[in-house]
Parts: sequence; structure tokens; C-alpha cells
Amino acid sequence: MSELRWNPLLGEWVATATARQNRTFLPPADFCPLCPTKPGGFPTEIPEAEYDIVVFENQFPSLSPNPPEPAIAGSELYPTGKSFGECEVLVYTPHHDSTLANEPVEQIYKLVQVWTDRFKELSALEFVKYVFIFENKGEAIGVTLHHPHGQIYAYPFVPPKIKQQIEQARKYQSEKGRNLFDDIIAEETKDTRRVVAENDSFIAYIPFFARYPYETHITAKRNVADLTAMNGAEQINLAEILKQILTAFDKLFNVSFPYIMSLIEAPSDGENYDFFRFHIEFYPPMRTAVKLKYLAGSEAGAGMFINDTLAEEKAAELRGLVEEVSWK
Amino acid sequence: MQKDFKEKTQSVGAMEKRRVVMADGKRYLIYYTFANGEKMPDTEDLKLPEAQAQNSTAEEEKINV
Repeated sequence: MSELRWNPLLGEWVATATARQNRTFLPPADFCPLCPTKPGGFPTEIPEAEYDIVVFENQFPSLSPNPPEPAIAGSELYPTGKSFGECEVLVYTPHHDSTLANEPVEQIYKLVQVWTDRFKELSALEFVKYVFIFENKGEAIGVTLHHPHGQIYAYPFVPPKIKQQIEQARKYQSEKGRNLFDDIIAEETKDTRRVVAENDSFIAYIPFFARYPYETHITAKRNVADLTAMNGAEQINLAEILKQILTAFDKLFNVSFPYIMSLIEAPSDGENYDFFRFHIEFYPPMRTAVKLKYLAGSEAGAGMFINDTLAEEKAAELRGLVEEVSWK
Repeated sequence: MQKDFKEKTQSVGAMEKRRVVMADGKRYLIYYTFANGEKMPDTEDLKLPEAQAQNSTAEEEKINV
């Protein structure tokens, strides 16, 4: 069963997707559904092996282009809705044991182009108002499949957290007459303590207001609202700074670093968002080599995050691990 | 010596996509491949022309249904 249920306390939708309870959970490598099907082997999601990146519709989607009627009748207080949308899986490489950090920068550049193509195609769907590209990495995040992959959710509305960022950026522009992201970049550039890496097109930093110890943002310097607005040089620079940050993450504790990676872009609802800016936000749960940050009472109950660390100190740790990127 | 922008773009090559219907007969799957320098990419046009892509999709779907 799959439907949208309205939360009147928060003024937002919740999606139910009961089929997801039985989705594939941490299968052994021999039975990975994201690996290419081997000759004589069990059939996976991917019949062929000759590709760079594969994208397919999720077998256990939370949203779909032809959703069923809601399982339960709604009411005036609790409206329900059909869970329109699209859920895609992006398989970064045919190699099961790799990670995005371990892939060469060339592969990450290919991924940037695939992201752009998916964003463009899904944004054009009439029932899509927001295209959200993300990656859940690591068992600490709740990942059920180890094969390196990301996902795309195309929502029929602008989701709450994005809406909040958009309203903050709009309000800032309206009140100050300046772009919020330009001012953040100017402040970080002037201060320098939280900057982790930088190139001609992007700046990576641990935000002043970081909620996770190693929360990292990568923000476009030019006022581009989404992937499709980037030029060729920006696509390459995005691939390079991603390679730098992902590699630095892994070096922190010499483990494959768990994280949620979120690409934050302007909505696809046809409105003007020239005050908003493409940026990537990483939420890594590790706070030391052996400790995780959990969302407990203040975070989950009250929405206020407590960070046990200083952004400036954590940025210095990461910055020291950033290396120049080499192309083959 | 570091490659310049054009060399980096050309080393990856042009993007091509091929859309097929999956074994369940319902979902789509898209294979993305890159020419890896075999073709000279035009950075303004990194996919198959629309008409060619649509014809390719129709053929793949016919085969896989």
C-alpha cells in the first residue's frame, strides 16, 4: 500500500509505503541485485555488464507515476492523497566493492552528467514539483544494499526542509537586497577557518551552524539554481571537489565514511528561484572513530540540534586531508 | 602536467543513453555509457539527438516486452 497522509501538526505530507518493509536487506555479494547479472547466475536488476552508470525505477518505490488509491479513506482533518512521483536508483559503477570516493574523478564527472540528465528529464514530468538527488551510504545510515548507488525521489510537492531553505533565502534577498548564498560564501572566504576545499566554481566548508561534527556543504559560487544551469567547467569542478571531499572523509578515521549526501536545488514547479543556489549537504553520523551522533530528544523531539564539536576544529582536520585531484 | 578543461572533457567522451524495459515488463532501465575519448564530445550536446533516442527506445521496448 502506498499513499500520502497529511500531518496537521506540522503541515506536511507523510508517505506510507508498506511494500518497503520487505525490501532486500544486506544481501551477500553473490546475491546483490545491483550487480550486473552473471552468465548462469541469478537474475539481478541489471541484465547487462557493459555500462558506465545505470539508472532504473526502484522496485520498492515510495512514490510512483501510477500510484494506487489510498488504502484508507481520508477525512477533513486527515486528508490522504495518491503518492505520485518517481523513485529511481542510480548505480554508480558495475563494481560491487567500490564506493564513490574510490571511483576515479572521471567516473564522478560521468555521474554529474547523469545527475543532470535525470534532473532535466524528471523535472519535465507534469506531476513533479521537486527532484531530490541523494545518497545514503553505510550501515550506520540504514543502508540495505552495499553496492555503490544513489537515489532520486521526484516529489509532487516541494518537501518541507527545502521549502524552509527557500523561504529563508527569499526573505533574506527581500530584506537585505543581497543573495544569502553570496553572503555565506563571502563570510566563509573572509574567515577561512571553516573552508575545507575550493576551486573556481565551488567552495566546500563546514557551516558555521553545522549540526553534525563533519557536516559539509559544497556551494556553487555562480548563481546557478540547479544542475542544468551549470556549464561544462562547473560540471568538471563539481566532480573534482566531490572527489576531494569524499576522499578526505575516508581518510579521517581510515574507514569507508558513512554519510547522507543531499543535492539541494531549486524546485521544478515553474516559479522563479533566482535567489536560490545549488549546493550539496553532507550529514555524516560519525563524531569520532568509534562514536556516532544519534538524533535524540532535542533533535528528533524539538528540532534543535546539539553539536558536541566546533566547526572550525573539524574543518581543520578535513582540510589537512584534502589532496589535489589527478585525471588519467 | 594537469589536463586542461578540454582534455578532461574529451578523456571521458560523449554521453549516450539507452532505455529498455525491465524483466517485469513495467519499469524502465537506462544504460549510460561514455565514449571514453573515442568520440569528440560537443559539450553543448552530450546525448543522442531526440529523434534517434526515441527510435532507439521504441526498438528496445519492442524487443524486451
